[in-house]
Parts: sequence; structure tokens; C-alpha cells
Amino acid sequence: MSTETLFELRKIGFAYQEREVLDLPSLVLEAGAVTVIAGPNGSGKTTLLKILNGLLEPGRGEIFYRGLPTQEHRQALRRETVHLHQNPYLFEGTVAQNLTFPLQFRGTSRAERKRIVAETLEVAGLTALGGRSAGRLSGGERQRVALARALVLEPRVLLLDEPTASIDAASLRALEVLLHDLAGRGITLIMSSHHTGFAYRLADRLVELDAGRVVPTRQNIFKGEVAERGEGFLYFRIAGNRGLLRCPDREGEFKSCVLDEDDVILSAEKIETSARNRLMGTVTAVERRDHTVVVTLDCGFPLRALITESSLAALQIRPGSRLFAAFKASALRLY
Amino acid sequence: MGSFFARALRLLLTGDPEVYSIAWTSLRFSLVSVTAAAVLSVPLGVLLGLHDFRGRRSVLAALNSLMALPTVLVGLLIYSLLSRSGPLGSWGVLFRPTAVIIGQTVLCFPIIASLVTGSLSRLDGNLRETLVTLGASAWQRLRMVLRECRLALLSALLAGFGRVIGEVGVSMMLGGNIRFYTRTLTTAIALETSKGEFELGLALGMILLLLALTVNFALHWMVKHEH
Repeated sequence: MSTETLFELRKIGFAYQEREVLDLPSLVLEAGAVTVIAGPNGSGKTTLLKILNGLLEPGRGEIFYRGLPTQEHRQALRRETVHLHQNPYLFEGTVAQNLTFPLQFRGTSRAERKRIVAETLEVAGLTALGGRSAGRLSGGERQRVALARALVLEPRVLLLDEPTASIDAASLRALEVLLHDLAGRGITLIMSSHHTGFAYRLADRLVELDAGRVVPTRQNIFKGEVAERGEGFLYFRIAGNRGLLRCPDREGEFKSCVLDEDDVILSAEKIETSARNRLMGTVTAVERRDHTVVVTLDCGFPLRALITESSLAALQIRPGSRLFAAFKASALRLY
Repeated sequence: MGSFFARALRLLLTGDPEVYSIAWTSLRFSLVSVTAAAVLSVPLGVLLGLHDFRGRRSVLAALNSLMALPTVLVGLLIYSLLSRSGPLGSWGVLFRPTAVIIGQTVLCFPIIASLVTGSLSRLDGNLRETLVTLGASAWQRLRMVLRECRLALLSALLAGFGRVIGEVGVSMMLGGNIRFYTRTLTTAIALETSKGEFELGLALGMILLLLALTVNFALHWMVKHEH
């Protein structure tokens, strides 16, 4: 995964009728990653996505897209990013016509339009729906058509506002496969979603908003796959073969494993516990958060643990310290 | 009733030159005035429907009030402007087709403008953002918005057409009901009925109805089959 900075937001604020809905002192979003913006209704997710696409102007602050201020380089932002509304508007006409319009806006030739539309319909698994009226589509089909319509423009970045809203389970699965495929092709996905499983399966990074502010994420998200099953456990291999986690055995294919930071127990010496996951790592970061401390360990993969100030003092934790970490198999959630 | 239909059909099928002239005059005046009103009222409707500005509510209130303007009053007002002693008397268009078309344009202008405003105001709010995010220029956005509400636009034009094809006050006062020149179906019906030619009046009424329905169906068919 690339770590190139895509968006950098500095001191961004936005208010609706004098009510501040977004207050972001600093936020960086990386290129090539899947970032899920989580948070309750009214937390500012939709506003943030619209600001990133330039559909809304922030009341204050600066936004840089690929290092350039968006206010002066609106053209590049518009050409490379497409925003998808949670209730997408489809133009009157057929599905294929819907995909044709954005190409017409760009002045693409008729022959080229025809080729791109046919190819995109195939990629999105919508070839059979090409001739159908857009007004006769289900919620899930509408989302996929809107996504395909965005894809004809070959965007670098897709900003998706609640793509899982009001779609059935089959459509959700199809949408997830399509988004996973797009992420694999290097398209940056920044989306909001209330669907926890969907978000965790796709997300490389979770940004949590509450009342317009970024709040610390309290979970470790490990991407990977099921390596094997046995002895009542499922062994989840972290991508890049960087670690093996022992989880309760469950049927299904899983791509993400989530562990709350406060489920990790740190110790200076190896101790016998009932926890089935025991690791050793080096402290790479110590970050104070309100009255608690987040300790990041390098265990072959980054593992964050939430401890108290008194534990920090008692264990004399500092960057470079060697610690043992333990957590129960049942604390791991698979998605 | 059957005899009126039979007479109306006979008048049409036998190619009575006067009936054809009257019907054509009615159709011509109505189409030209609706077109002229559309040229003026659709941009105003777009402005009122898609933008918010100071005084917008007052303009809308004025348009809504003008929709109920009696045709005779419009005829009278324009007569006072176009008459020899009026401020526009030098144009010399009174009792000519131009005068009728001016009057009918004034009649249907507020209807079209108001209906276009209403239909654009009710457009899905996501449409604008969708067009922006898909890279449409301001001109392309306007074209797409008009395309998306073309049925509502058509309805507005048809409402305007309905208003002028059936009006008698403006045509009578500004056209003078001159045979083979400014006589329309409505003024002819009024004339024939006053002469006691009730049957002929009703037959012309049937033709008027047929004409209005044909134009309605033709426009709807065109929109439905545009693809």
C-alpha cells in the first residue's frame, strides 16, 4: 500500500446556518488506501466527503490535493475525484446512457464512448442491464450503476457516501467485490458507512468522526486471510505473513480481524494467562490520549494497546522497551 | 350531437377553404405566441427555479397573480398601448396578426414561467451535485437539467398553448375577427353563434377540440419516442 499523501486538511471548519458541523485541525488521507469514515448520524461524514470533492467550500482552512491547494487547482481535483451520493441520482434513460453522459461532458468521441461504456458495464457486471431504464432498477443496482458511471471517467479517487444504504444483502456482496477489485487496481476509496462488517472488510484505515471532530479509533484492524483451522480455532494470517492470530473458529471467508485496544494486556515479563494470543514486541510509540496512554508495539505488525498512566509508570514503558502482549481469542472479531 | 360531429367532419373532409383558413390561423397564432412566450419565460423560470436572489418571492407572487389575468383585460390593456393614440400606436399593428400574437404571448408568459419555475424547484437536489462531480460545465449542467425536466417543460408549454388556443378576448379585441386574416376558431364560434348559426359554431368547436387534442398527443408522442 502506498503512503503518498492524497489529501491534507488544515484547520478545516464548516458550519450550516451558524452551527459548526466540522472542525478538523489536521487530517491526512493516503493515496491507494481504503479509508472508511465512521461515526453517528450528524457527525460530519457527508460534509467531509463533499468538501473533499469540492462540492462544498469549507468556511475556513486549507485543503491540499496531491500537495496542491484545491482552491487554486480545482480542475485537477474535479478530473480525478468523483463523489457518489448515498441516494444516487440517475439520469432519465437507460443504464448505458447514464454511463455515456459523463464522457460526453468530457468531449469523448462517439466511438470511444461506446467502447468505454461497454467495457465498464462488463467490469461492473452490468452488461445485462445496459438497455434497461434507470428508473426500473433496485437500490443495489442503482448504486452499482452510479459507481459504473463514475468509473467511466477513470478517477483516481472515489468518494462514496454510505454506499451500503438501502441495498439488499446480495447487492451488498456484489458492491463489496467490486470495491475490493477497484481498491486492488490502485483507486483510492474514501467512504462513509454505517455497515460495520462492510467497513472493516474493506478498510485499510478507519477515521472516526463525532460531532464534526476526529476521535481516536479504539480498534486494531488487521488485514489478511484465514490460514488454517484446527483445535477449535481459526488461524488468521496477517497480510504479508507478518503474524498469525488465533481466533474462535467460524464458518466463512474473512479479510479483516479487529481487536479493541483495551483488550490487549501488556506485561514486562512472560506470564501464563488464559489468553490464547501471546506475542512479544518492541515499543515504537507512546501516545497520551485524555487520561490514558496508547502504546504501539512492533510485533511483526503494529499492535496498539490502551493502558493507564499508572501502568505506563509501573512498567517503565518507553520507545524501544521490549514487552509481552496478550489477548484472548474471543476478543478478536472476524469480518 | 351526432349532426354537429357530422357537420364538423364534413367541413374538414370537404376541404372548406374558410374553415381551413380559420383553423390554420388559430394554430399559427397559438404556436407562434407559445414559442415567443417560451423564449422569454423559460429562461426566467430557470433563473427563478434554480437560483435564490433578493426579490425572487415577489417575482413569483407577481407571476402567480398574472396567471389569473382575464383575457379581455389583457386585450384591453394591449389595445390601449397599440391603438393609434397609444404609446405604441406608431407600430401600426392593431387588428393585425402581430397584435393577436403579442396579446397571446402576454397571456401565456406567466403560466409557462410559473410552471417551469415550479418544476425546476422540485428537481432532486442531488442532480446538481451529480452533474458537478461528473465534470459537466455550467452550460452542460443547464442542458441536462432541462433534459431531466423536459416532461414538465412540455406540460408548461401545453398549458400555455391551452390558454391561448381557447381564448377569445385578446383575439377579438386585438385582431378584430377579420375574415381570412385574423379570424380564429374562437372568434368565428362567437360570431356564428351570435348570428344564430349554432350548429356551425358547435362544429367549429369540435374542430378546436380536435386541434388542441392533436397538438397535445403529438407533443407527448414526440417526447415518449425521442429515443
